[in-house]
Amino acid sequence: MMYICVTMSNSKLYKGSLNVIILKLLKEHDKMYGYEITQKVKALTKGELNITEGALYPALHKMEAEGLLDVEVKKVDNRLRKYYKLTETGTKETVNKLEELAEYIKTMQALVNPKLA
Amino acid sequence: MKLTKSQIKYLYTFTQKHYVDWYDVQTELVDHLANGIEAQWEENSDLSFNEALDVEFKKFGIMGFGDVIEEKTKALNKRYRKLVWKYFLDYFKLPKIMFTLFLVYIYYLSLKTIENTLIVVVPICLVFLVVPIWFMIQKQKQIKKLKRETGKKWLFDNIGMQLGGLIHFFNIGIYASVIFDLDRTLPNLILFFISAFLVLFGLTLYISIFIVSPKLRMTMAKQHPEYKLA
Repeated sequence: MMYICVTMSNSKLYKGSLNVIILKLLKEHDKMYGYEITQKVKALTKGELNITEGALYPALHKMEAEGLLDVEVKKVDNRLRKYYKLTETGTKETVNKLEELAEYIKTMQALVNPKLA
Repeated sequence: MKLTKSQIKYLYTFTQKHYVDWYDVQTELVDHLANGIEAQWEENSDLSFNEALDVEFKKFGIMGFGDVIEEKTKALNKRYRKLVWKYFLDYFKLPKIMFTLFLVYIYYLSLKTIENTLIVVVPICLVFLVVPIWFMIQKQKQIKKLKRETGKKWLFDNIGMQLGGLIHFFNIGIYASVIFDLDRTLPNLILFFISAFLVLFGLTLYISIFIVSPKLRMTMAKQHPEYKLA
């Protein structure tokens, strides 16, 4: 199982991808809350990728401060829930980040497995 | 199975016991813990509330909520300074740049022509000294009043009070030795730079206190229905 958290030895590889994962999910789901994001990633990757709580919230708060995400607090059941959604800048950034990531994967593939590239 | 109101209340107390004093941060953590506990109950309904909570809390790692608070504070400080910078840049674009240059020129002229430079320097430094102190006292009162009335403290209010960390930069005392050594016989370029510094200092102070801090409060009040604008 791969973990997106600072303490794991392989974390550096995935740490940079965390923002892209969040942006991509929000692009597809309009608005999401923290716990929902962790569960969605777990489900999509069949448990291969596990976003830790200690990494998720700092990333969300950072992107909110950078103006990529907007926040909405709503009462759900008997508690308050903080939803995140993409701002206009966030939507543009998502496209850029996904292109960057695709390019990076292509380059890595050429290095690791030249036959496939 | 869903958490009851009293269990939600307990989660707020739990986050507070783990050094999360701010209601805006607590709210997000409480919802996260509650979702986690409910998910565990779906798989094993015999699990007690405390056992499930223990499992969820451990997922935050050995630092507990520490990292979340630290990073949230950093992010909010950054957001605050970014806003200050955004409005600050406006004073270097037309038409506001004319106003900025005019102020620098007037101050430079005063330094150059008035024989006793202290007459020019002391009042402005007094204003720069008093205004941040007055602002902090006002904010402190506001935060205490809100806490008294609603029982809640908000992280962004604290960030606003400290001007996103800029409060340390606004300690005019740091620059006193340079400012009070001013002499009108100094080269024009130096007098000009000092004038520009004081004007820009005043502008940044004005933007932080009178534009960005109220703006941040308004944004947060819009986001959090429970925040009460005092």
